[in-house]
Amino acid sequence: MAVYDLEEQEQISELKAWWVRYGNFVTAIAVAAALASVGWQGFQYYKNRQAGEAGALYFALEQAMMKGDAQRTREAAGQLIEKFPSTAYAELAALASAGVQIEKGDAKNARAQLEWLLAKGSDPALKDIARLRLAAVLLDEGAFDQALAQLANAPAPALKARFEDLRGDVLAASGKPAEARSAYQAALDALAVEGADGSDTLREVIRVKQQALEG
Amino acid sequence: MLESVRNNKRVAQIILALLIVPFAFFGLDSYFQDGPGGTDVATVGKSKISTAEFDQALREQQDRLRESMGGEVDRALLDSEPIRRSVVENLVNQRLLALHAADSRLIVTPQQLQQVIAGVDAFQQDGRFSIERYEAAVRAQGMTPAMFESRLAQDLRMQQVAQAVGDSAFASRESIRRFLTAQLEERKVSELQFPANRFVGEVKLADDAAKQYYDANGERFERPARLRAEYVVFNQDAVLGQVSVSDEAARKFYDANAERFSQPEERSARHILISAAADASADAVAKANEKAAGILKQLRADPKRFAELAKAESQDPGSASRGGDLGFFGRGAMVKPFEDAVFGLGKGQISEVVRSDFGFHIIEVTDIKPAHARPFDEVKGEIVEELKRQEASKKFAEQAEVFSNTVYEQSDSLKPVAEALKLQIRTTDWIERVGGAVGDYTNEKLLNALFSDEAMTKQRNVEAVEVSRGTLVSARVVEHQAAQRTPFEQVKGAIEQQLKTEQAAKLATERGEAALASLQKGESVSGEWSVARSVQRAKPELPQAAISAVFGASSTKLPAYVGAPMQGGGYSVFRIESVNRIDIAKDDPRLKALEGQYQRLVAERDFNAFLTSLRGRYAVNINTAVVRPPQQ
Repeated sequence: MAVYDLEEQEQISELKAWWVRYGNFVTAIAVAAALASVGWQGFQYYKNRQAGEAGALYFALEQAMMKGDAQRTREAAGQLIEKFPSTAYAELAALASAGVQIEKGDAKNARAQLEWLLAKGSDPALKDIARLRLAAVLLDEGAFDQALAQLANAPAPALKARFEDLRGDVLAASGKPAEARSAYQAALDALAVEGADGSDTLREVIRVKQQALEG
Repeated sequence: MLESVRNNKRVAQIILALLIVPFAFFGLDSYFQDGPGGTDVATVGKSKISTAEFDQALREQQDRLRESMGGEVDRALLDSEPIRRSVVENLVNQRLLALHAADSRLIVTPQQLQQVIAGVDAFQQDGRFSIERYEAAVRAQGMTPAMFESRLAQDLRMQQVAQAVGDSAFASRESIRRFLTAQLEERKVSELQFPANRFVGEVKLADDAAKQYYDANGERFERPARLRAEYVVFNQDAVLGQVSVSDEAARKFYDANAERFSQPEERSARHILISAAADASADAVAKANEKAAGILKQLRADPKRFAELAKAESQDPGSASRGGDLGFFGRGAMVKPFEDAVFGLGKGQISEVVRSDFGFHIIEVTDIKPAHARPFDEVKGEIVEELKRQEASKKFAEQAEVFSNTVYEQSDSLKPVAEALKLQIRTTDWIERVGGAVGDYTNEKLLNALFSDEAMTKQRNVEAVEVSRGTLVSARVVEHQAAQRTPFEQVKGAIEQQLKTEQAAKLATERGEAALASLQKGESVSGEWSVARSVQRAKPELPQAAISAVFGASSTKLPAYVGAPMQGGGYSVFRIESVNRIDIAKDDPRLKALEGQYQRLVAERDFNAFLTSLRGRYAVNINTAVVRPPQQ
């Protein structure tokens, strides 16, 4: 190695002094950063692995759904909820399975899955939809007050019309035509505000139901 | 740079140290996540939708529309704002779902992908999946199988959400029953008519009423400008007759493109799969290997049992039921170790146990189609046809310029261009600006050009317009008539008739409304009531306004009276005599029939609401300049 000139020697000794003073500190920071990074990547790995296993289960659920196999759909959803409750798949599974259960006339299990989603789910949009569907199940079971309770809190604006429409149905079914009329009106108003294309059919359906109220 | 590193060593060291950290832990990717900029159509969250993506989606949508409308569609329409907007919205929605899927860690397993592809009808031959058909179909779309598969995986991820949110939607039976009850409700009504023609005799028109109307509504009596034009059409068909292809040229093409006319070697095989994924535990792998070895031993003892064992033991769901048969395939279709084994065996031979990412295979080659070339005579026709078309297209490109230039440079007649390119000059009948057509062509740009002042007064050729891909049209006005107002005397009678009818309708409504008011006060009204009949919302035997009035009336006190304007300008008063609400049982088949429709309705609403909520999570910005159609 070449001989250092004076300036460089000076620099080297300066650097050494600096290292003596801050070396531990720098090492500690580097180690902490490395640990944090490894930890973060490990966490990501863990999450991805979970998602992979949950995805395979969800695929089984989709297939059972396509075959209209309510029991296997329910089992797959149950496993997802039990083993991977914090994945998005668990929430989707609850929603999907509830639809299949209702189709097969099993309101009890549909309710349980929707209630789980409401209690443990984290996606507010999915929870709004779950509330709406739970209220529909409750309406068909004749539990009008419980259905109204589900619909009491305002949902995201895009679901307002659907909520008010169903509220109208519940109120009409429980013999309160005047309140039903104003709920239907609120639904129609929400559709008017939204002004979206493709809402004509829903508007017509609500209008007919409103008109047909007795009293 | 190096100089400054030397001079500022400490700074440089610190910078280097900082650089190493991300390389060490995150790889190079973190430096290249943001691609090059440029004009984007929209941003969704942090991701961008590029102009190229938009252009491709727009083109695909236009092709679909063109196909569904059949034949020529005006380009301006295909490029209109509503269509561009819907394409952008669609891309944004797809991107929203893709982002949501990624952030929610939704995945598609290789098995899922495989099963979905195997199930597509277009990829099947004789009722089973054919790898050749799959590849051919995918390449016909301009994609490699890998591209197609990644696109499909993306679609399937979005479908996972769509299925949970949309497809699984259901409606309350009570909601459906309520709607159906309303639709089937019957009301018995009799009608008292006030037809407009009954009052025509009572109408007295002022002497100058028709004239006043004529003066006030002048534009209604105008015949728009019209013209007759002559035109020439130039397209590939026009040059196809001028080209010929020699046998030598065809032969040369055949020799130069030998691989196109040859069929590479193909083999058919059957296999038994004992699955063991690439990342399975060592224990599971060993177990699977052992099982495969056991099966192989049985086969060595009795090779005839292959199909039977495949049916019983194979874990490849696609082929097990067919005795493991995979049909014919070429090189590049299967995973590498599998392919190597298949192409290393002779016909009728059974392989050792082969390991792939799917697991352990035992493979038997059942047939071999050696590579062979199609003889020249067999493909000559095809080649000549193709070369002719190529030649014609080249010639067309050359002459298109001649066409455009000639009509422009010798702009007082179409004869020079017709003679130069051997085209036929045709003439149109009288055409108007709106709804006019030049021969078969309704192109907006062409019509606009013909109806310009310049073209009409100077009778110059209009610039060549590409009315559809590869078809140029130029035209020239032969004679034209300016917009004209029809003289008052000619339309006076018609105006008077119209005014009388209008006033009679007004009278009918007045009388009808007066009668309705009296009836509602309980007074009687003279007139002839029709025989009562039953009406339903769902069966509109009356005009919409009348149905709405009849069913909108309260049924608490009967008879009730309502009125509504009728077609032809009359008015009718309805007496609602009875209301019959049908009680629908829970198992009524009509409920079941309506259920599907009602469910689709709520499914669509729910899914759209979900998309709207995603717009709250990922900021969506659409570049409105792109949505507007480009100026021509």
